[in-house]
Amino acid sequence: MPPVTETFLVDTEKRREWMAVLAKAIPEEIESLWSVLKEKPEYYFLRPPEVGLVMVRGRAGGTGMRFNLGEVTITRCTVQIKEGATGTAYVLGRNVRHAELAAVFDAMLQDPRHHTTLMKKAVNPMIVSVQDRKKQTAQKAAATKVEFFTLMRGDE
Amino acid sequence: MPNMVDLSNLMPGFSDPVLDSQRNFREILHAMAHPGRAVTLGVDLRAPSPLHQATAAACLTIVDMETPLWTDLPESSAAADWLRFHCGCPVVRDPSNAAFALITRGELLTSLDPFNPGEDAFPEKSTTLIVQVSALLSGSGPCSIRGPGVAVCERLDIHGLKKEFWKAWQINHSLYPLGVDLLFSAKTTLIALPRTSEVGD
Repeated sequence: MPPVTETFLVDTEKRREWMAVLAKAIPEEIESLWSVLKEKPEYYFLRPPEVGLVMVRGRAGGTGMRFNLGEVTITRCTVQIKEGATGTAYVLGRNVRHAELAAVFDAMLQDPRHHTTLMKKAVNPMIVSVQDRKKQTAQKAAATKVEFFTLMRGDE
Repeated sequence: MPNMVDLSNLMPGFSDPVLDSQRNFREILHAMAHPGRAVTLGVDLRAPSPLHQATAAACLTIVDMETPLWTDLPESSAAADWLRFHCGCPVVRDPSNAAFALITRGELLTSLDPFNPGEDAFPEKSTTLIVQVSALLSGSGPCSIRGPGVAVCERLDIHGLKKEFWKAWQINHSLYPLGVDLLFSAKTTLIALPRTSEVGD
């Protein structure tokens, strides 16, 4: 394992953002971005992709008591790239390749030699497509919205 | 944040977590059923210093998020991080709350009192100790082991334990059905010493 020569302080908030984008990306999208990448780092697994369940909890109206909404399947993975950085991914579903690539991308984004190019070539396009999909879903949902009118009752 | 695992120098665990832990579990079971008999563990595992391969393999196999672990490793050591990451176990400060205890310096183990011997109603809730020693040899040596699982007598040689430990073991053995169970490990060898075993010369 080569020693990390440059120290590169990773902003936790920024990392949270790119990890979310990587997790929300479509597997084919992340795969095609990986395949066109010129400099692919060597990596090995600290934790090979594994599928598990997490409990999603919610609050009614965002303010009520916490309740268990249900369990969802997730795949998680941790890799280390040859340059030294360690990347982790938690991805919804059972696509092990998605988790693997998201973890490699996360590791690369923490490495100063890869960060800028990868942000430009991979993360920014993914942000756009993630937002597009979100907008589409929101529009679809908005079209089905029903307005409820309640008439004032005498006793209230 | 407390208990953050430093990932920068982490080593991988089992290459095939399911099959490797099943295989090792079978070996540990075999060792427990035959006190004093040596089994081989973790041959292809890279263990973080100061853990030996058998110690690391035993931890990966039997310690998980449901089993609180007590260890003599420093809290911020690479080996402690490795255990927290791969086993996902809570690390406790009070040995009497631990389901498993990992002792990497067997020469400092002189008393078994701090560990949980179980309760009369639930003797199986006792602590199981994984004790790493400098060398283990079965078949010959100054120790003789008798008890359930041993046909006549097993002889073994354990390097790196104090005399006080064997006194503590006599007390532990006399507590039966309570008491702690032990797994000795060195390099890739593991030998079990359950509470039922009687150790003599």
